[in-house]
Amino acid sequence: MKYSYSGENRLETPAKYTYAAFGGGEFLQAYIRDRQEAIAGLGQAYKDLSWEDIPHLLRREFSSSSGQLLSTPLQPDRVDAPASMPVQIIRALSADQTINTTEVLECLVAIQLTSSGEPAVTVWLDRLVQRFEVSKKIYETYPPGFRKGLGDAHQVRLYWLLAIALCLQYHVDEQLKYLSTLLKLTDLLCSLPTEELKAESCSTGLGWVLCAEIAAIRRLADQKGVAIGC
Amino acid sequence: MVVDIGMIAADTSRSRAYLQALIRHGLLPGHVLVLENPSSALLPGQMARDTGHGATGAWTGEVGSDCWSEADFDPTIPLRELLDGAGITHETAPSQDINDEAVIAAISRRPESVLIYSGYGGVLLHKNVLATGKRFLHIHGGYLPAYKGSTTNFYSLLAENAMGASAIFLTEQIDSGPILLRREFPPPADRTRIDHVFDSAVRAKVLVEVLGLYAKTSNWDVAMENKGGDTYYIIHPVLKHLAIMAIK
Repeated sequence: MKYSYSGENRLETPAKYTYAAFGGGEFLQAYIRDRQEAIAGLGQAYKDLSWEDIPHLLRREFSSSSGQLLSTPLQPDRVDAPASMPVQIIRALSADQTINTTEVLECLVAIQLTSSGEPAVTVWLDRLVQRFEVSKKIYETYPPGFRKGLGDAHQVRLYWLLAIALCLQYHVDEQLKYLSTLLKLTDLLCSLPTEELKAESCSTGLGWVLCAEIAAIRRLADQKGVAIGC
Repeated sequence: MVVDIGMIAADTSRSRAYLQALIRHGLLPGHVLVLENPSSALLPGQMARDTGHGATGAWTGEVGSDCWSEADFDPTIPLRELLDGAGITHETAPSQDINDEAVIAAISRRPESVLIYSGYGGVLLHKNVLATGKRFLHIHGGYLPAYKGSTTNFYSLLAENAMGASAIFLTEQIDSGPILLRREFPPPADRTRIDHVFDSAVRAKVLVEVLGLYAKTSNWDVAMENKGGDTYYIIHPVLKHLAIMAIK
């Protein structure tokens, strides 16, 4: 069985998840294979992560001083700056103003990497999840009211950043709604040509996010008594 | 017939479950406005003909269990056949889209003040529909206020090994009207049939109960406020599979 949800470019043709057909254990195995192939395509070896190791691994991957997580307009040492700086930014933001999505996402991830438990994180995460789930797109900016986005909706980096944020948040609170949206985002990212991911510096760390996602699914399957079989 | 109750229905498995339950319990709506799908392509909530239920099409599982009493319905009987068989007057709406102006006008013309709403999946009522002054009785497939949004019974099966249904009047915010009645249900024996059979069955069960209460008391009593909770979006198929295949 082929896993079809990352089978074509999902930025151009969003996947349809309504009334998804049941494919049994074969479907779950197809999903795992799809992600493992994606990881290999990124030049990384698949690693069976333990649930407990995930936050440490992701922090190590994304908190490097190479600043690969961050875009040029921000201070390059943002991640290493006092943890309060991204928190101050995120607390000062309001949905009643024009929002730069890159700024919000980079702040969210920077805060999550320091595990500060800042409540504003889930407020903004929920807003971005709602926008993505409704429109299947993440826009460069959002006007006051945070409804229909404006500008470029094909910045792969934005989808990559949101996937990292959801991966980190799911590990904290195991809220299934975040895991569901993460799966849709990784379907989209895995559907893109590797060159496109590398061009936007998104291949870095994506392999680890996919490993973490598989670990989350295996853990949930185990809790529910579901044998995936691969 | 229940006084002052009409219905807006698309020909979906849910509407068929509702009608069969209402007919079984003698809680007939006064009139039904049918949102007809003119194309051969199925709309969300509609089922392909091949249901795998067997030659008669009747569901033969879960009979006799009180909480699953409304699962014993035949999802293959077309809506109009049910309506004609029960002698319920009905008309075809000018469009399949409930938010269409002509449909809103047809709704406004109805004398009933409460309309059971059972449309196509994923369609939200715009404020012009709500502005007709009718109250739209909706049975949400999930235990409110915790589980708002879409496909919530799959999420609650994963999180709590339970399903739910809640009766509300629709408001502008999704799944946020005051709760008239809500019930929790154990997982069904065949989780592969949740989409068209068991999710419809839990909603039909709650519909029958809330209408039964109204028929007795002539009141729509609010059981509880509907504040808080989380909003869920269409569940990813990987999680849906885990919910279906779960044994604990």
